[in-house]
Amino acid sequence: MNFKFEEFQKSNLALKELNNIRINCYEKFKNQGFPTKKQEHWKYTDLKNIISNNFTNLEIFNNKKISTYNEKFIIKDFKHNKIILLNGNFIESDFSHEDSKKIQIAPLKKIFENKKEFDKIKNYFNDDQNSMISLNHAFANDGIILDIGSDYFFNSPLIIYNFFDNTAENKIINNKIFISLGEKSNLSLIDFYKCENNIKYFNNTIHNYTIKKKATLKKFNIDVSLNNSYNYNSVKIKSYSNSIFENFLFSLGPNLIKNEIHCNLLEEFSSCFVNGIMLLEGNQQHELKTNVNHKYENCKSSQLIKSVLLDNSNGTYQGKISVDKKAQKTNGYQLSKALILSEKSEFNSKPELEIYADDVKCSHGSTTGNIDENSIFYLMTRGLTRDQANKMIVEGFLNEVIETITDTSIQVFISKLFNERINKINI
Amino acid sequence: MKPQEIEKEYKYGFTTDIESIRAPKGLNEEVIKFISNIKKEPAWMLEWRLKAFNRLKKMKEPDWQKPKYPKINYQDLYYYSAPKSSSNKPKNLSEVDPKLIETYKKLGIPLNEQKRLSGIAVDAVFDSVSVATTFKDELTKKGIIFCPISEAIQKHPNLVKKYLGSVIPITDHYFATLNSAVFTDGSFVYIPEGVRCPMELSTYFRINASETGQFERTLIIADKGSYVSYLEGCTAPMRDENQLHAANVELVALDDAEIKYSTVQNWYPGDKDGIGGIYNFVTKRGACRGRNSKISWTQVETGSAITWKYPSCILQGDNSVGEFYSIAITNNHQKADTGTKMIHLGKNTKSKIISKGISAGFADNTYRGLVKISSKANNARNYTQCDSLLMGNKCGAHTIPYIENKNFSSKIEHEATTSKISEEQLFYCNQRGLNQEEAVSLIVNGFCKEVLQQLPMEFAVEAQKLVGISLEGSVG
Repeated sequence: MNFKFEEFQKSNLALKELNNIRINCYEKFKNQGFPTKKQEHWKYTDLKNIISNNFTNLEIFNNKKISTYNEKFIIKDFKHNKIILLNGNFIESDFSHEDSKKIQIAPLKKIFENKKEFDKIKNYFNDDQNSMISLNHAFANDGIILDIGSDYFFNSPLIIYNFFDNTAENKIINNKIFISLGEKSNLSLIDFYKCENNIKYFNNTIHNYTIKKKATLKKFNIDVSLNNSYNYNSVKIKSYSNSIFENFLFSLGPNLIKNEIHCNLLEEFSSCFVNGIMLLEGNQQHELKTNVNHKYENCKSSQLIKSVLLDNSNGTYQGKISVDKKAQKTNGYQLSKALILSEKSEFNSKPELEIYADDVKCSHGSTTGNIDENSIFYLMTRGLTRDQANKMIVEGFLNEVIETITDTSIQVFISKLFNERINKINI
Repeated sequence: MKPQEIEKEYKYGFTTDIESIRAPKGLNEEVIKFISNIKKEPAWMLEWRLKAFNRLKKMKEPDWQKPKYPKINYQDLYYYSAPKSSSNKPKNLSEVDPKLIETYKKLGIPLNEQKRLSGIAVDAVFDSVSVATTFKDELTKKGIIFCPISEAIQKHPNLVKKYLGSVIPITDHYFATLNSAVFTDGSFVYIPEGVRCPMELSTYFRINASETGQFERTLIIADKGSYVSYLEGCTAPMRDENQLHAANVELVALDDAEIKYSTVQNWYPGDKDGIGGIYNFVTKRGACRGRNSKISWTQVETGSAITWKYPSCILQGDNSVGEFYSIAITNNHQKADTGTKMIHLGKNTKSKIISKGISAGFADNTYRGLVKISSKANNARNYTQCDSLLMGNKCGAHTIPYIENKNFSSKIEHEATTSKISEEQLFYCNQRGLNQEEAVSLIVNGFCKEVLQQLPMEFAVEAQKLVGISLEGSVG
């Protein structure tokens, strides 16, 4: 594997400090390579294997020319603010619905050249055992840093468009997103993915969110239409007192995606909700790995993941709740349910509890299986065909997760996308 | 609740003075030859041991487990030690060293009493060599073979050759391979076709002679349509250094056969500061080879400084059933990383896992389990329930289940909870005149009931007491 590191360095000038980090991290990545199933956290997604089977000539994305994005991909009939990223690079933003004084946005490229600004995010370039993180540290050349002031309630949701065009083909794109939400502020954020001409690329993104006191961040991952992309997303969240973080994963599209969510509940009464749907067909392979760390008293977390697997697909859920010995009165919950509908599909789950405090209520459940014959029989006695019955059950099964979305306008929007998608699928 | 400290010395902590024959310290070919020689083993057995030893040299000790322990110096252990009286074995109880008999009496298993009253054939293992085997005649009449494995190697070489290492291959993992190379003794059971073993077979293991690793090897074969229930229980004398115990237990169930294997483990857990105690690294695995076969593991784990074991079932035969019932209690500085593996290979296979973990003091208790359904295991079914109880905020309880499903007609359910004893429950019991300790004991026994019920009568009473004793002084 030759990622032309020197060339990358030359064309992406940065502070000396960052350059040193890049060199270190590149060395580390070179030693480790892509993760393999021998590593516990990658047990079910052998990335090294997947990459060597699907990419013959994977290169680092390093295109200086900024092209224009395809405007027809912008969502219509839905009032929202925009941030547009093309191949991981910041293109433009539009906050016309909001109070501009409260919102600061800057492309990461600029920050990399500014010592004072870089110092603020320097800590996020810390060491990691995970070689994908090292890879990202070494080659991240852009992204955004979004700072939202205190006491601000967004009028409409923000959509971050992640577009990919032909220049990204066979490339590995590394970028970073930093979002800080001020005290008592409220934001609904949609991470929206779309690529052109069904190209094959690898996207490696690290998200770092800070949610301050009494703030609420609702995040939605939307990647609905089938595509040929490979993704690794790592989200790290710091939650302060009385804050709420909600994440809804609705990523049905990519060939491969591994979503990692690391949520640290640092102060009391903070909460974290992770809900998601996996509806997989063909050779898709999706994994969700969560790690909710209860570091303080009276925090709450809940996870609900529902998966439906068709054809040769492969789904994995690795969830973990860690409770520190300080974190008394914790309430933690995990539930994973999967329907395996094809002979060749596979579902693995590893719901994990690691508990060091005694006054806690933690539980998890995990089920996998086929559709219950009794339910089908019931529907068929009411005049439905077997196919209709199957579809109705699957729809109802997944809809339960969509109903947990607390933002009504987004729930309607996601429902619409879901119906479009499920109607195209043969169950 | 008022903090309360009741210091409870380990009830079974004593050593008996009996002169031992020992192999020289260290792990090498000479020692293996020494063991093989003293056991008068045939050449194929020695070859088998050496094969394992050669393999061991290339292996690395695993380190992924939750409880960490100081590195074991394998060259600093004795791999063989036997009470002297074993060289000319006694024919009946009157010939047994009276000191041994006394030891058992202190343990609460008066051998002659048991023989008459409870109808259990006890194959008592004192250190590494079986000393007295009772009820042999009755079993022989039915064609059941129940003897020390060293005897089986000489008398039934075909059975041993066929099945030894067939469930736990010598290449399996570090401790299993170590055991294959240096195992000293253990039990061998063969139940012939269509025979229902008329009594519970039982072995009391006991670690004596200081600085000895205990490497037991047990092999149980249930031929077509047979049934056997096997009990294993242990207590160990008080001691300062850590002792390694790496036993291998292999079960084979053929068509329509059923094996029930129950364990009560109460080895020395170390003192209240976590010094000393046994390392219990045991490999237990059963293969349901035949159609409609069944293997059921029941364990009550209250002792040992570190318990690290996963009694497993390989469900090869169609319609075979695997069960695992476990109570793991850790107190003071004890650590446990235990659970099971259920590997579904045959059609219509079923498995059930009930695990109860109780953690008190500074202890760490981990349930780690695997449920794997292969693509050919149509209509496989699994139900898993793991509950953990925490007492105090210095201990930990962890649940790490691996659930892998490759078959679309199978059904897996898993649930786990972690909580503490609620104030309401305690209050209710106190109100009715029970003191704090009694109340906790009662509630914990209720919490464990599903598992305790699975134990054979002879064990159930003892185990219930043990659950209470293990937690004494832990509630404040």
